[in-house]
Amino acid sequence: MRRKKSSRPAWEEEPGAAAKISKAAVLTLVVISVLGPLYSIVLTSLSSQSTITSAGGMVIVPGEITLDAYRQIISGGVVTRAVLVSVGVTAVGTLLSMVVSVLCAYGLSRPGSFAHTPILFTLLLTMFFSAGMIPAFLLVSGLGLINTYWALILPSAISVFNIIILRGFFMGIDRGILDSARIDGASEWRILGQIVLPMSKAVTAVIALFYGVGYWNAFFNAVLYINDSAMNPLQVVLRSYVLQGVMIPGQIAVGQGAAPSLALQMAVIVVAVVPILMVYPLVQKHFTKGVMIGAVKG
Amino acid sequence: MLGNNASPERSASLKELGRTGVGRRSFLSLVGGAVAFAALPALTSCSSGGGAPQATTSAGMADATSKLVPSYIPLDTVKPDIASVNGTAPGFTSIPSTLVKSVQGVPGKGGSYTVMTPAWWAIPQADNSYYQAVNERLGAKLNFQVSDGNTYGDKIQTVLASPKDVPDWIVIPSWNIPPRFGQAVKGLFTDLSPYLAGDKIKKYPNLANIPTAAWKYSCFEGGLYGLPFPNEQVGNAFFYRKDLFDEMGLEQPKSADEYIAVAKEITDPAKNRWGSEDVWTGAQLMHGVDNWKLVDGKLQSRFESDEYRAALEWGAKLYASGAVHPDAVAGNTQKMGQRFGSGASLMTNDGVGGWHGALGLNLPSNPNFQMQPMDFFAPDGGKPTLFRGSPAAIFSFIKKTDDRAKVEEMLALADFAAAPFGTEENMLIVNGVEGIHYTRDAQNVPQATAKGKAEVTSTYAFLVNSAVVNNQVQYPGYVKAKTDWEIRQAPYVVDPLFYGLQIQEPSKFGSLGKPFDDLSKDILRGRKSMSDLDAAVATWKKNGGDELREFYAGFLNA
Amino acid sequence: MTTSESTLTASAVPAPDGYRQGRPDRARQESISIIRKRAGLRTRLRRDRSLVLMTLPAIALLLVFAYIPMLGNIVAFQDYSPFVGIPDSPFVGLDNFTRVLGDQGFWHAVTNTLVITAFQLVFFFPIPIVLALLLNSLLSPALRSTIQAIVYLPHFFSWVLVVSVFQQVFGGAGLLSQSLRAQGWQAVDVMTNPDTFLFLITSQAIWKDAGWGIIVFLAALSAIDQEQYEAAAVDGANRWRRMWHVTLPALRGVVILLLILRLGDSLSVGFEQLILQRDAVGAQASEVLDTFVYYTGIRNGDWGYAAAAGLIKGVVSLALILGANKLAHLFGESGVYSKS
Repeated sequence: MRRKKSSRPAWEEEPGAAAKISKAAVLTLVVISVLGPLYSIVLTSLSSQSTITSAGGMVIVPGEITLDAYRQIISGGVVTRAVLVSVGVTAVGTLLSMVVSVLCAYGLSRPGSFAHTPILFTLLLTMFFSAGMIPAFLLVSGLGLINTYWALILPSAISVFNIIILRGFFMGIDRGILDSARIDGASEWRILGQIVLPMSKAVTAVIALFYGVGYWNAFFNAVLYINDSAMNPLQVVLRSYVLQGVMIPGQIAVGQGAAPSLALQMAVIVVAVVPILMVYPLVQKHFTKGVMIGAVKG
Repeated sequence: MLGNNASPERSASLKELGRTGVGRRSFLSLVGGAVAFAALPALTSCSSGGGAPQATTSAGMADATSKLVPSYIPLDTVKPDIASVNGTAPGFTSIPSTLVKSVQGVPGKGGSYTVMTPAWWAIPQADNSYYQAVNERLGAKLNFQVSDGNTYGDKIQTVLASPKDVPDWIVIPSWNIPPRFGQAVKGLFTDLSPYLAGDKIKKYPNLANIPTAAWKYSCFEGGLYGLPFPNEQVGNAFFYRKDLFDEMGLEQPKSADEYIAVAKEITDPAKNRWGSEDVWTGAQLMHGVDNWKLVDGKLQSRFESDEYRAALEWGAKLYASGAVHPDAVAGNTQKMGQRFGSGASLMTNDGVGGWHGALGLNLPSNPNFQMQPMDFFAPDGGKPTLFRGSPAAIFSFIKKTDDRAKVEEMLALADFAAAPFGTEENMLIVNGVEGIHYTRDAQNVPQATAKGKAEVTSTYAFLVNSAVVNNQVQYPGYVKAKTDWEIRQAPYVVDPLFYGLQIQEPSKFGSLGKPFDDLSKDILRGRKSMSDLDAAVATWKKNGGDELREFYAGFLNA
Repeated sequence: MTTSESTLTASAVPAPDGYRQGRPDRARQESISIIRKRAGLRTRLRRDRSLVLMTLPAIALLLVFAYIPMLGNIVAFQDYSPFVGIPDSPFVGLDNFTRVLGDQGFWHAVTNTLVITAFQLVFFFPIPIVLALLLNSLLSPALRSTIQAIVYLPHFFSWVLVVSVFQQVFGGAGLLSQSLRAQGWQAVDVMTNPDTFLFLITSQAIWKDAGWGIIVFLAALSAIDQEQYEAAAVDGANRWRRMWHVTLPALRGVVILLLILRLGDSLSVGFEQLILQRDAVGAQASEVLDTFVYYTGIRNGDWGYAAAAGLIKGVVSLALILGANKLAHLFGESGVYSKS
């Protein structure tokens, strides 16, 4: 979709120096605004207390480097436990969401099939009208899901929007291939598993990322539904430690007073970002493809 | 309603004090003191299912509850070194050399129960060696679901709203009792009066050692539903950094104006030093704000009162002076103790139990650390009016069950938890296991080990507790100073209008007072003006405030 | 799902309309659908049994977690108490609604919501377009995709994380205050100033999502036929005139669609973002409809009342979405689709 050539087309004039410089300046600023804070956060998490003190807070110039903060996190147990909870909820949730969404999207990928319109309508209606927080809460509580991990998964398990993207992609697959498989006697399940999915790796990867990030980042549902702090996901712990300054167990032994040290707070932030950074590059190149297909094909 | 109003401040200070291992080790009066913030509203924020005001009078209510509550059979475990004067907590300046065993045999029968409790400090890991040790001695397994105390009120809301998910045993601080609780209590919890009323309590001697007022205050909707955690008489105070005041040649302020003047004098942002924390709770105490008062024979709510208005005006003046620490202005109460401890702010208000909590926190790194509660003063510098703390600060409730044996087992566990100072049981619950969680120093005083600091917590104590005592002997001079301060304040203590009555407000008034939460914060910080208070009071009246007044008037005619 | 992407939702939403209006899909599928439709109901059921089966898990989840709660809005007409339950809570007719509509707090929340929406529309909305134009003008594909990867990144951060990052930069102890103090100037705490809160949350939204928002625009830009530029250049149009006459018209469709759909969504502004910062700046600046519902309903236990406020929001949002869709048609929404 993008221009492939990297040289300037013959008809385009060379931009003036001022234009070039300001363009470069703006883009540099944009990049720094994203990477700068992250750099300082990572560096601070790795800095010793004396480096932090002499920097007056966040560290920009590297000083004494130490892994103390991360050691404290591991020995404290709360953050590691929250990471496990978040990883578990994200893994189970994403798997469930993907299975349900892919099946549904494929089931809806052939207009004119049985009950196609009413089913599609059932899906789409939920994009127009949402019941609201109070009834949603009453439902989760009525189902007895309070203080269970399912409360973090089931209510947000499907995104109709993601199903529509998948469906759009499936609908764009050359019908001839599918029809000939069908004539060969392949079941719909087999067609989905052996033909459609292998052709849709990019879009499924993107959708899985959307779901995964959604679970990983969800914060408020845990505030609402989880009562046992041992079951709190990482985002809730992140809020307690970084935004509210609540203490991390195991820290007292280090004698750092009542609030988590800055390095420790920053280390928790890093822990929350790392999984996203690990998955992100694998999927990033597919964004445009996956997203635009959904958007365009609708 | 009213109880919830000051909840963030209150729970924050409670949290502050309990932060450290020291706080936990000596949480008995620590926590009792902190929550005596509840001194402010004498009534908890209960509301009943009934729509119309009931014609119950306080006399009628007293009649009803007296049949529900247990007999009071005091234990004489250890004689206090400083006796109680006018209702102050007795002081113990040393640890008895031999501990009394108050629970013979194993109280539990192998049951396993989920217990939900708050914690205002770092939440210990689940299933740690402290829990294991206490559970083993109990002969039953209590599985604690611990939640952050600052947001505990929200949790209580959601848990109680899902009857299926109510744990076997739940701790609810009086200021976290949600609206419509009156409707909840009968359906969700077990009435304990058939097990404890009158002399039935004799089966549980440590529970019988809890004063009657606390039990009466645990009666809801015609039943004894709560197990009480008794409260301090004067639960909250202004504190100042004595060491730094001395260094700067300052004296504790003795009037409202002096407070602001001193705060301004201290403030020097360049030195990262501010005069005061957010002292909204203290402001109300200083101005003698009570939930209801009689003016010419007519009830007046706190929001309408001159005292409340004056407290707001004074608070707004303090904020406007620029002497309040910017993080406090930003509403961060969680780090209040840290700021005070580090000398970033020199005056604050806190639960009186926060005192030794802060000692434990700061003395190890700063041996010169010294804090002192101010002797109370009226705004004009005259004699203060201090309203007595409600008889119980925290309750625990047992989930509704018909299984008598189960309730009896849980009450036996509660009896263990209620063991007073000077018993083996109390030592175990407060300090953990000797050699693992604490060691004794030369004066026989338990000092927490690193493991003890990380694991020992107040979860068992929150279930039920004996009356408040001052016994934090590990801080030299502390017990005497605290007890003396209490004795000095005692003459000014008066009963609030509805002292000790557990009044259930009808549910329709449940959130009537809520708007004042945000409003007071905004007025203090200059985001809204006193005319907004007038508007809010008018709305309050219109939306049911006047009806609520009628409702309370029904309790006056005794 | 919580991550539902506003801009993308935007482009996806009109799909149902197209469908309901009976022009389901691309021409090449048309013949097939006609044949399929002609088959008898029973035959189609047998033939499509597995397809229907595949949709069932999703339908079941939606029925339980989207449709049943819609019915649960019945509590808006009750003096609902969770301790009594829906069957036994007394019905109060429209009492809750009249109370909500007469509540200053509610209208304050509505005002805040609309102000935030309007402010973000003016200050946030154009930024992805500008960024997309800038990126599109880069000649090196490697540089372009690297920058893209970087600006997309914050979109995948949680609000807790975004607010935390801002705290470290703009908070009282953050980088900004630190350097101000180092220069001997007065430190500022942007995170707690209610007067500048609108700018703060808009900057947060821009930091998090502006990069992500460029995807749609980049795609629209890349679809422009390069010969149009060449022809314009040959006719003597300079850089700016080419942008005015070729680039911007090509973006017009997307821009109008996204704008209209954002309008349809105007009653929803970052709930998590606001609730995380409510304590710091107070309710006056930060209360919006969603936080109002949370605080009155779940925190204060006034369930029926909060449900009524939520229901009002839901119904008005529905009307706005439908109205916005209608507008989209008026502006020729098919222009957006024909690009593929």
